[in-house]
Amino acid sequence: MAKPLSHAEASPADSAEQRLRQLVELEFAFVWRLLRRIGVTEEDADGAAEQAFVAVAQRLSDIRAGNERAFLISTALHVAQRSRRKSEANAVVDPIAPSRVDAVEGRHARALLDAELEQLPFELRLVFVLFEIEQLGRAEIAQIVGVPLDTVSARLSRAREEFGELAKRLEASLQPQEAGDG
Amino acid sequence: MGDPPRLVEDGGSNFVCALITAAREEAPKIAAVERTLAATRAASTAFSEPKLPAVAPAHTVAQRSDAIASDASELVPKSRPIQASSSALGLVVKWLAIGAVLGIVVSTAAYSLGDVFASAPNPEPGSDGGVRAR
Repeated sequence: MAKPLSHAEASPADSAEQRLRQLVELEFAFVWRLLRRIGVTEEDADGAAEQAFVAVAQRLSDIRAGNERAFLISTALHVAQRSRRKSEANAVVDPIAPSRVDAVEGRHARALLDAELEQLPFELRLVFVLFEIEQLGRAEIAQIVGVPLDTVSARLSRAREEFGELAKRLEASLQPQEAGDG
Repeated sequence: MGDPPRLVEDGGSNFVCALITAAREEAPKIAAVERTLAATRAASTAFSEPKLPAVAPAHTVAQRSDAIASDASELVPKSRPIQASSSALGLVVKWLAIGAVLGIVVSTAAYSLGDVFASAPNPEPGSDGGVRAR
């Protein structure tokens, strides 16, 4: 889970640069993973994350200390939407097909996971990713997504249910293939 | 009210746990972090100071800042287009004012010259304008 930002040591002279540096160092991996799990391709994820941080850098003086993360995530969601639209238009296909079993376990597992997540409605997918993968609390998710806590709980519950069903079916379909491959 | 346990901690099948764990382990390359650090520095410099710092060749920083500004322009609020349109409006008003002043000067001059020509005596051939006849 990503740690919250600390602003105690920021001095007025170079506070902006320190704030930015701290933000990038603490949150880049989180933003990058979030972008990947909500459908940005591996090739586009670096650029999309960079765009989100640059947008924050340009607005840094308007962002209240402590709100950087929420602003960053909402900017990243906009960037992700544009990137997804572009990818769909260009019909970019992930180089690892979800049905193929290969030696790169982590990579293969992530390709399978992304194929599962792709089948969830976006609002369920986002809550599921933030809670189960990024391990944010429901209250923080409610603040980021801009919905009440009860809505987050309901979406999480539905997302888990749908994801569980999809995972069961996928696991069942992979077993004979993997046995055949082995 | 506390959060429910995550699937990885409690309730998820081995398969689901493997997928989620793999996702948690994915990380960006260090180079991507460094590129973003440089880009954010350039962006904040470009937006906060009119002069570029002397640490890098001016053209590289300017090109980078322009690229970043254009990339991120759709994510930034609309204050820059508004500034641009208001300065264009100012330019139009300025030229309209200059045109109006020039028009007044030219038409006044033309009117005065017309008066001068109209009041001048019309000299007849072979005469000195009637001065000697009187």
